[in-house]
Amino acid sequence: MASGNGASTVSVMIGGEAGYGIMTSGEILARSFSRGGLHVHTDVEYPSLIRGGHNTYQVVASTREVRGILNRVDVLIALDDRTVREHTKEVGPGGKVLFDMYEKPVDPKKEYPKMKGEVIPIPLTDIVKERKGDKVMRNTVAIGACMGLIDFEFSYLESVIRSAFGKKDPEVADMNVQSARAGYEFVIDKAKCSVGRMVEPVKDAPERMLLTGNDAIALGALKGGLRWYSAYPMTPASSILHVMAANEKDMGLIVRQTEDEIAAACMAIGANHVGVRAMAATSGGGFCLMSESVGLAAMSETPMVYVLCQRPGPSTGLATRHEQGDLQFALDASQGDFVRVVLAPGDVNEAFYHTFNALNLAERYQVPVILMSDRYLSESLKTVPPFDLEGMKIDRGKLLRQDEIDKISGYGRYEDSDDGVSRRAVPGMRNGVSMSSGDDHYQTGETNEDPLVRTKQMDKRFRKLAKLIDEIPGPKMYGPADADATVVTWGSAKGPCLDAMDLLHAKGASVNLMHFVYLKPFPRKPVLELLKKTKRLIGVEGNRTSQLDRLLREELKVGVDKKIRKYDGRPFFVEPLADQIEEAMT
Amino acid sequence: MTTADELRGAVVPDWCPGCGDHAILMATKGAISELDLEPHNVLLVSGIGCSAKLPHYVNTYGFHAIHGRALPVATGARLSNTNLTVMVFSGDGDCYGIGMGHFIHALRRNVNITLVVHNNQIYGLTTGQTSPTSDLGFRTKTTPAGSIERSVMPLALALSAGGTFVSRGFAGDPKHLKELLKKAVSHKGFSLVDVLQPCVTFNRVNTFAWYRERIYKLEDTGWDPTDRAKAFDKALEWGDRIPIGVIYQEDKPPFEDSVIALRDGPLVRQPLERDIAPLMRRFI
Repeated sequence: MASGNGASTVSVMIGGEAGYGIMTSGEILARSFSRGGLHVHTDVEYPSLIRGGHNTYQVVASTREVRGILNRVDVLIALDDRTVREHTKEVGPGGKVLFDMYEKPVDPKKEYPKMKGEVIPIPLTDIVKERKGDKVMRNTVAIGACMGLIDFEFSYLESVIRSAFGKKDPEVADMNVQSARAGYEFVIDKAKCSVGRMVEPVKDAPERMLLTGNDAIALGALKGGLRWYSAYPMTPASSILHVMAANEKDMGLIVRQTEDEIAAACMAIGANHVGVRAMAATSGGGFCLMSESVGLAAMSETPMVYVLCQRPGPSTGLATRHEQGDLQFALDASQGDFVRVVLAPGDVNEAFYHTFNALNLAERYQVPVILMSDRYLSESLKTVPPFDLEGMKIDRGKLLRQDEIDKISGYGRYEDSDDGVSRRAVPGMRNGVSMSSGDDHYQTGETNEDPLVRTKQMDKRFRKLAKLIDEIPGPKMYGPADADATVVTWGSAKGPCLDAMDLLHAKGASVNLMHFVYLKPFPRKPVLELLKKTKRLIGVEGNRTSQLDRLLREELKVGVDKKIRKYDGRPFFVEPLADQIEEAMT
Repeated sequence: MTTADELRGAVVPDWCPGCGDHAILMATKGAISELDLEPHNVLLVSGIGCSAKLPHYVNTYGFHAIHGRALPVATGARLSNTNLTVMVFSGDGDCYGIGMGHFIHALRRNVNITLVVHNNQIYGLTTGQTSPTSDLGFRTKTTPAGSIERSVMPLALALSAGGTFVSRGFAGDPKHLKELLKKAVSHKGFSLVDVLQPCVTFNRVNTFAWYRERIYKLEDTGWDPTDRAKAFDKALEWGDRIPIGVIYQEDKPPFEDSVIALRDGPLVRQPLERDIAPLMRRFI
């Protein structure tokens, strides 16, 4: 379907109960479009349960880059009645609903009077039965039918199914390909309801990766020399643990599922303490438990990277949904005053490069670094060009080598220095024997409560800020330099904002985007510079209290002029966001 | 060999005079010296409490962490550098109270770490509150009418969690304690040394004299420390008679032996740079 600027885009959603294979099917659809040379972005919605309930997997595929999820659904694959009912509003007059008529063999027009799209009953269950397949293969027939409906070459789907199942069992792969083909052919030959090309494959498209933010975080960390990863399972951070565990052997790292998040963080601190690069990830509830360790890393000056994949709180909140509600928590988690880095990559690409950078920053400044993601970034698949690894350099800062420490006499772990960063020997090194401590200490690490020593050590630790703030990148501007309005956002809201901005530009609106990745230390200078050129500021945040705006007001005494907030447990959708921005511009 | 005297740290212990902790410190330095461990290859990790000050008083590497979390810190450190001898110094509050979860999991993991628990049946550094090992009826600031909770039995817990070296020492017998620590450090796997360590300031019941009247050495009774079922009985013996020594020891491969990444040597010796291109290809 046309989506302005000459691109063609299709939005497909598959829905049904948990246990129907919705996730697998959605991913196969996404990969098929990606193999067909299209850009893809997905969104997964599921409740916190294993069977039953209502799961959806939405895939937006386009000839242009897709950064946000559309509200509109062009093809709805409904494996149950509830899917049709819950997503009636998203399907427009031109939309199609592929419905398993075995599920409810009734007249769809009478059953779903408000549905504007065309409901096409397909005997998914019968097709599976004819082939003596398991009921769970209905979804395979359905995605085949979907590809037939929009006339997207079957070969892409076939190749993805073969790589998904082929390694396990070629017979299973064959059976799935045949089921998909049966669905494909039913739509074209029997039902004759194919609507023709909704989106054109791009034959000469460059090779792209299709991965989630969590995949990118794992890859960035592995590129950054990570040798230890510990975590306690918690949505939406768990898939980092899965990727790490799957690659434990090949990548030569230790991956531990620990008894709780406290152990996950403290084990990683122990690993970092002896000179191995280590990281721990969790979601908000787990980060509450890890908070005390953030202060330990700061006081003992142990490099440490935390990944905080947000979901809606407070408490268990919506365990499998999306929100950006933990910014203020991350900015101040743990008692006392100390230097930390808080950053929130905006997309898969940034997740890779900034995770790599987070490990460098933690080690160079010997501080805790909190890298924030959220359900939308962590679990959505997106196509990106293969990461460019050129020039990525691991920098271990003031970590001493044995030959260096051999030349030092009277070494102290927390000796003062111009930039506040002390030379670091680790256990196992001769000549560097010293104490590290979460109690405040003298420069040799011994506990010391003298007021002068305390003041000196606090000032030493805070002296790190001067250099750190110089290399913290300011927010990035997207869109025309001079615009009537500037959208201000952070983290994963970047994608929906960019796509919404494209829609607004097509309508002739004058708007640009200011996107924050690095939030603490606050990049005051570059922000002030950018604000000289901006006019009306429109804040877009996935939380109730405009947490970035609160930060801006604290740091700059000025905030945004208009706030767009979303806290319904879902990410921003592009079209309604564009409407809200347009409204806020006047 | 580094002598016990050379192992003295830069600062003088600030424990109360007569505290059992002094004897644990002496026994620890003696054990490190007699086992001929190089100080730069020894890491002493502690949590919070009087026990947690010990690493400051020994001239080896030390990490003074937060309350209850010494074991996870030590686990990360030991697995990341398997050349290190890692010992943890904890207390009955630090280990059997706030850190109990980590205690059980450390035992079942069987990582090669020695855990020394300064068990004085009271919270000392916070000036005298009840502890998980306080006896029923024990009066403190927080239990003025006497404790109404049953005390935990650390050795029995350790056995049930799969402990491969479960022992008890007494701070009133530093020589015996030193030998016990040597055995514990030499054990391949996780070793627990629960040390009866009278708090001379806040615990007026479980004093040196109180323990001396009750303790006996298992080795004097011809005890066989390889029978797990009998060890359970022994671990529950508490009251008129209290056993010290090795209650149970079992030869089991330590956790390190099953970690694939350690087959190429200590993690800390492995290069940071790696080729992720093949992994990236899997996402195409």
